[in-house]
Amino acid sequence: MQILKNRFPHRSEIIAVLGVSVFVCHSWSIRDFLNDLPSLMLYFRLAEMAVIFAYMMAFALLESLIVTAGLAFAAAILPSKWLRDGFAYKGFIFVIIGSIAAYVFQKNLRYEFPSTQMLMLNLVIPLALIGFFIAASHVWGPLQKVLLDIQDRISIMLYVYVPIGIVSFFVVVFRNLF
Amino acid sequence: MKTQLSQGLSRRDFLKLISLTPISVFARPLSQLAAAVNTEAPNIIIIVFDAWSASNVSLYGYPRQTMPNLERFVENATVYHNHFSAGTFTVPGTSSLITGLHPWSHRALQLGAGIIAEHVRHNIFSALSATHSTLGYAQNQLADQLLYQTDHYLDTHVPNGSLHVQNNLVYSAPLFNKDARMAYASFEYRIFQKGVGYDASLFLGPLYRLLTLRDRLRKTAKYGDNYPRGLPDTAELFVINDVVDGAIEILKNIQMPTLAYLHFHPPHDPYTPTREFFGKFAKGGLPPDKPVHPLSGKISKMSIRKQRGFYDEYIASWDSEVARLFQFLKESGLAQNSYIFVTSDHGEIFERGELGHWTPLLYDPVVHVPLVVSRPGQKAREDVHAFTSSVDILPTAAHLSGNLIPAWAEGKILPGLGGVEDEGRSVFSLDAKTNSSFTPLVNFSISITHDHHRLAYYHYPKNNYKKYEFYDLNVDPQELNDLYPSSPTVAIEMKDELLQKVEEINRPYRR
Repeated sequence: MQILKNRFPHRSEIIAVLGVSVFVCHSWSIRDFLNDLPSLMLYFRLAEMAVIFAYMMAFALLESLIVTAGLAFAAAILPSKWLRDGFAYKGFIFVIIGSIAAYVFQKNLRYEFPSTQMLMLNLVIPLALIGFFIAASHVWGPLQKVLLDIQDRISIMLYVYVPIGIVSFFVVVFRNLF
Repeated sequence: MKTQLSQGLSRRDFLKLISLTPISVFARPLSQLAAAVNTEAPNIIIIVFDAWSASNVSLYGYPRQTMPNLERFVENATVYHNHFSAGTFTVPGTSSLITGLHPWSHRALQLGAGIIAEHVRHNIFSALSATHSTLGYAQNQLADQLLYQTDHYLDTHVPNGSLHVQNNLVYSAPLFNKDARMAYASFEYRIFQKGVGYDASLFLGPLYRLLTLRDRLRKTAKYGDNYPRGLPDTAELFVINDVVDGAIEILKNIQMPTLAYLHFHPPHDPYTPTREFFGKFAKGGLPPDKPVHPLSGKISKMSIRKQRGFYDEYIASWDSEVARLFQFLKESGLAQNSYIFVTSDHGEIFERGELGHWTPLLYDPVVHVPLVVSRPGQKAREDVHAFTSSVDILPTAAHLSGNLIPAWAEGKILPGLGGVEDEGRSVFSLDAKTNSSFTPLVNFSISITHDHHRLAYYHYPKNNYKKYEFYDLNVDPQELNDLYPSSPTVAIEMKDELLQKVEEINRPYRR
């Protein structure tokens, strides 16, 4: 147990990264929901739209947890200097650049399975950017401070999005049980 | 085509097995079946081919020999020559088949919409549940959603993907069985978009899409040899002969008396014929060129001509496979004790700058659909020329099964099956996909077909387009000569009837 505790980042740092994941995943889902709202209003009643929103929020919470858990697990198995030390700001960089990369990837990925070259580009460029920003914030202290300040402010959304996600999760479970 | 899944079990055997699984997993409790014990009553088997236009079927005079096997099947069946769908795409068209209501009543008007709450219990399965066990299968996900809405009255709901070679839809997972409609609207349309727009799931969405696309590549490599234009696709890939085999297995296991609703995806686009029919209709047999309609998608003539050929090839390809289903119905004896309906939810258009069925246009290719009915033990072909509508299927099925025709049903019993030919009957079709389900109709197209005349009313104030068109189908079956500007008496009378109908439709929705 102690080994695990030593390998994983500190709980407060994990929560800080979770805050960013929750913010990104929920905000993106809400954007998508609002984008579809005019068409949903044509044929769904308010209660049905609320249920669709609940599915999306529950899934966003699940996705945030998976992303954060994935990063924490990576921190545990990689050399501690790579990710575990300074997990809060490194995780922040991972999530933000990963989000932009995921957005670009979504935009380019349509009906055809991408070429190996495109897949590699979509993997290598974000990893290079992540590496660059981690190195930059490691060398240049003010950048790290700015990142942590932004992360701190974003974390406030945990208090809004997580309860919404939990309530939504129970709505989905309830509807599929009864 | 046979693929070994494990020692001694072929892929086809596996498909047969899983087609049986829902019977136990999704079956209505036996206690509810107590009433359905009159084994003397005939089965009612409704077979729907999606997006199947009478205009492209040789049985209905199309010069290309697209459906020779259907022609053989109707040697012992009744052909309805003037049958019209009430809707113009899967959602309203199928809803009208299932509910016996016009689109303005069931209000399933848009892509992804469902039957409104007050009419959910008004459906063909509830109408026959007192005497028949009920079974539903729809390959098209939108039609499957409508089956989920009526799930309460379905003894057996065969899962949508169970006959496909690819099965990656989230909503049909048993986990979401009790809330499949909401799960569909959330997962398939939003969280995982599969190529249309952005996924609501930022990270897992594209990963899921990658996995799905890789799966498609693998399945195409494995089964695609016989399909030069790619595997048939209903968002999931399938192989036509597997679907027909699966349907035969489903029908083998029904117990008398059953109402079976089988909704097949072909010949819906993408048009992917087998190698045997690939390029079969590359030349000739084309109808006359028609002027581009202002509301059309302004598709080029060349593209339309090419797609029409593909569509015809796909129909012919489907006909050659579905012949085994027709053969099975005859040889198994099911045709001896079943009423078999073969029809469509809507048609498909290849003219006037329009392609497919996502259109506001209400010309014959979109709304004129085949209907063939085989009575138990029918020995000779009969032909009915009276005007009939897709809303007539439900009251006819209720009548034939010995049930009362529900008071809410808006159709009539089909002539030749207990109904009488009504020469003065008006048949309506509606498209209102950009209108709300909860407000009066504002943006819509509606047509009234009556005594070989058609009046269509296009009312799109948001496009600044309002127009009537009137055709005499007796002398102008291609609908080329719009007679409305000369104000013939029949057109004025039909316009009055149509406007009265619109007023009647809208009245309950006005505040």
